[in-house]
Amino acid sequence: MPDHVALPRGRTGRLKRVFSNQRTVALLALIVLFLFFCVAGDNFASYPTFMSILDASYYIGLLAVGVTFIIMTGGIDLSCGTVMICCALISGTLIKAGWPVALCLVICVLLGVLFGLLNGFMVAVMGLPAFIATLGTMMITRGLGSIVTATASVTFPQRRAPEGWFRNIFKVLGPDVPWGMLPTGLILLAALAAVMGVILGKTRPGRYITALGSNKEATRLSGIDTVTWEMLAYVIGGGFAGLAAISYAATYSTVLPSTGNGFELDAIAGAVIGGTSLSGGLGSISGTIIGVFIMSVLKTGLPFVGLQPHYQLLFTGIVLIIAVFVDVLNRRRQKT
Amino acid sequence: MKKRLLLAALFAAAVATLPAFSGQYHIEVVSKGFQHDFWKQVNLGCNAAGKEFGATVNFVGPPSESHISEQVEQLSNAINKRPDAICFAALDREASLDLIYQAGAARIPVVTFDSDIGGDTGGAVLAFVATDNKQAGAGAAVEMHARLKNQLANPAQPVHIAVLSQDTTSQSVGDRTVGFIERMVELCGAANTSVEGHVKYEKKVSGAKVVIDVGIPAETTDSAANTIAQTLFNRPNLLGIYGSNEFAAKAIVNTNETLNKLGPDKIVGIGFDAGSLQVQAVRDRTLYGAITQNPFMIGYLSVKTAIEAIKGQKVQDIAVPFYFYNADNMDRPEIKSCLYD
Repeated sequence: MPDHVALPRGRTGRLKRVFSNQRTVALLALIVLFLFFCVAGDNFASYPTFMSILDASYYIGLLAVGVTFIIMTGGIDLSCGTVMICCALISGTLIKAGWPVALCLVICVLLGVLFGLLNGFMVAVMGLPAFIATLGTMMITRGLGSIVTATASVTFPQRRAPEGWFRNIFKVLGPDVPWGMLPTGLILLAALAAVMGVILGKTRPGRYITALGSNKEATRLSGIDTVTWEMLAYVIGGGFAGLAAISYAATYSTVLPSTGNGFELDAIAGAVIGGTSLSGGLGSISGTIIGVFIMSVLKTGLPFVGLQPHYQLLFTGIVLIIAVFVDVLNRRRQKT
Repeated sequence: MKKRLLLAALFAAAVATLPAFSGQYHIEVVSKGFQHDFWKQVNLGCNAAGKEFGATVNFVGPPSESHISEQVEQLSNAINKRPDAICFAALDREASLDLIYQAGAARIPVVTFDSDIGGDTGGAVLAFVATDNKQAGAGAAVEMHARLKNQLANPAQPVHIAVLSQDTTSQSVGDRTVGFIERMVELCGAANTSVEGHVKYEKKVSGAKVVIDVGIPAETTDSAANTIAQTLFNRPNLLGIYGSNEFAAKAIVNTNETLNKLGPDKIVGIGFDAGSLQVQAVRDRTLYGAITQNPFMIGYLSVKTAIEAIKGQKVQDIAVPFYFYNADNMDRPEIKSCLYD
């Protein structure tokens, strides 16, 4: 993870350093939350509950990984939620029309890439503010999804149907696997997050994307092709929205047109709780994944301790604000 | 200039009254959209009645069931077209009150269907055509109770029955939830039954033998609904679970995929409506059964009632019959036609 701030050294410094890293704080918070629900929640500490936390995390997690790249450039993506639903609707319609499932899944991701390309072009080449460009794409994709499906819902093939094999990408059920179910999606999410983490933190494109967010003008003046790298961030974001679409379809079966609003904010909140700075140039994929899991553990856990579900939004909001405040405090301290 | 305006106005008036002279009525139908297959069947029913009784039917609806303001605009446009009658399914009980009043002032008869509007409409609404949702919810309770009779009568330890409901704002969903709860309480004995879980429906009885747990997600998203379904499934001694619309039933079926708690000799699941996921679950006996409405009939009777109203006949509210279907009866023709997927 790129750390652009000088961290305190020495023995007491080490402790401070640990706690001045928001990702570490977030990880501790996640562990504490999880343990709390395990102790206080009825039946929370069980394999099916763990699976349902994962089910609720896949699509937000994939969206959040993509959006982290975009936020790192100092941009924002308001369209990822509706792009995801649009990709799912179009590919689901094709499956219904008899196209092979594997092909439709590839099309699903490619569509996401295409929308990412559109966003990237508008931001990097046309010079539109990211907020406006992606707001436009949000509306376009919502409209497009409704047009393609004639505003009817799309149901994906059931698990037992021969075309339902794609659900095994995220969850395998049946007597052949240990404990009756296997969270294959976790392996996929972890692998993708690891690869994208390395790309963001250790490779040239990742460093350029980070540099863009730290100081775009300086990056451009040092001879780096900012247009390409900025576009790349949006393309990655779009591709991950396409992947998220597959996970959404695999988990929830039926996709409704004209939905998807609000998921982008969940994804952004996940990234921010995990330590990604909204002003760009600072963040990590591992932090984002931790942030996403904090939200889904809260979401799943609160009903288990007997709280009515409206509290879930309240607490997620509080966690978001605390997370950003910790970040602000740390930076203020490091400046002085 | 004034003359021309007058002429134009006269012409417009002539055009507007033309269909009445030609015997062809013009009816505007403002539905809740096309998202669910339910509404496609309503649309077909409206068209069938239009064809049979000589009316042109224009069927519109918002992009989704949360687009209240867009539906209000569509209703406003419908009134401005000066049709002979309007059929309207309100997304929100209050949002369109003024417009309906306006339709009444313009002497356009209004027939509401599926979901009624609340408050004083100045006599504009002449009839309401819908499934009696409370009765339909009660129907689900009767079926579940019949199936679980032995386990519900004097259990050694308190047993649980769970209800998953989409939200607290929709009239139809609320009625189906209340209808189920009230009938279940009645069947199990009020002194013996405690209703818990959500402030809106809560009615706690200490030492009750039967506990009805009501779960309502914080937001209408699939993941929020699955979370609530899961907590309901985790209740000790859970005997049955009821989802009061397509969305809730879907969450129950999806969650059961991991938990595998539904089925014959396991927890009795009953759904509502007939989405494809749910129909499949009933067919393979994961769900014990579900209540289905008759959307084609709702559409057909709405337009038919509207035409009767145009002709000056006396019209009244119609309760469209519902069916309970399960793996054994779902292929009977009268029920199959209501499983609209």
